[in-house]
Amino acid sequence: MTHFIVMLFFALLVAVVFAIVSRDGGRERALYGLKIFAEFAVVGFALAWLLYWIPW
Amino acid sequence: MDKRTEGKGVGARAWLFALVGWLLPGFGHLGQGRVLKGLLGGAAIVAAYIAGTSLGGHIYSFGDSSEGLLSSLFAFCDVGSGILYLSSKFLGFALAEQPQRVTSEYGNVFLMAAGLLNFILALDAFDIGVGRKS
Repeated sequence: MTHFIVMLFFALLVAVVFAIVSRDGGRERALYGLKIFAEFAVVGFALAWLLYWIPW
Repeated sequence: MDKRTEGKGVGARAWLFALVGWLLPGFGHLGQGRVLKGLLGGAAIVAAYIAGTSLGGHIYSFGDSSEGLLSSLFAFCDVGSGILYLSSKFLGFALAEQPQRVTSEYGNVFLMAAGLLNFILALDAFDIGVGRKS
């Protein structure tokens, strides 16, 4: 597994737990879970590129 | 039964579900009839734990000093996995650090996240038990 796939898997697991404890109703849960997953993926990807250009 | 006794009973029951939820991920919800929540939550915790150990992660102990004071914090996070942590501890599984594996740090994070997410699930089971959440 690449690091990115591992990060996506992590995002999926966290999104599942956050969605089931934070929202009621199937549709709300699914939307919130998707939102959390997308945020993790986008922020992770953006941070990875940001850190790539910082020389340390 | 008067209201005060009833309140104590509800509180004790909620604590019991929180404890069960901590020890057996997802069972705090299953015991209260929240089957989907319990199954999904429990599966996510177990999956995170399996992923963590597969990636070469290891659990920390409170007596561990490999990372200084942070080791105790990491141990607290790991303890959240309940029976998964205890079984690792007593069966000697995922105890040794594997720095030679590139993903070992990722594995540690997965194991800690599994514990923290299970704490959240257990607290959610408690909230359902006292009637704050449905």
